[in-house]
Amino acid sequence: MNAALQLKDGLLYCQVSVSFQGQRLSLNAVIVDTGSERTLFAIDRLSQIGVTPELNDPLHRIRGVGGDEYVFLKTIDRIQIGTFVSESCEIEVGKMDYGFELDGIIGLDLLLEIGAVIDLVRMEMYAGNR
Amino acid sequence: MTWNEVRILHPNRWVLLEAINAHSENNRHIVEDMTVAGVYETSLEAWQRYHELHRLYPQRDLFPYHTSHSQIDIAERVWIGVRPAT
Repeated sequence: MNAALQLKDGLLYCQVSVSFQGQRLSLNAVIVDTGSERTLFAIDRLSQIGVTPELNDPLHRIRGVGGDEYVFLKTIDRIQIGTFVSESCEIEVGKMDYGFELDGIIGLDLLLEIGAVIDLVRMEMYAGNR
Repeated sequence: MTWNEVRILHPNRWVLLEAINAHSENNRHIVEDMTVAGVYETSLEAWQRYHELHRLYPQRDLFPYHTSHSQIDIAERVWIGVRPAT
């Protein structure tokens, strides 16, 4: 099954499920962003399944137009978009305080791994043939 | 102060640091001079304080780190950001 895409306020949203240490969380306010090098999720949501900053989590700094932001890196068990599943995903986790509700950003790293085909006519995304 | 000085003053603690002198080099954020804005027992306290202060003062270069690390290692990337229709 392909993942449904939804256009809202000019951004492309999809539904994502994330798993960490046996707990699973479904996220709706996730955007697909080929302009983001990495995949990023909101700490306030992921803390619900036990994701917290730890001693040896690498620190990343994201330099943006509206200022800079620090996030930590975490490897989670899986990310599921539609029927596509990615295991042992390295993600960034941060506050994502951008002035509107956002649970996460699917960045180019994960889209490349999936081999994502983004169909903006049918408004769906699926894994392409390699 | 330097990272070594921070580590001697606050061994095995989470600290909230503010970079006084820093630059970017080969996708790394190099912090040469810093002050300590807070000292914490747990990662959650340090990160919560960081998020509070970052919201109030987005232009200040504040970040949480643990003094068990011998070096400060920060990878850096550029992102234009999200701009929804308003």
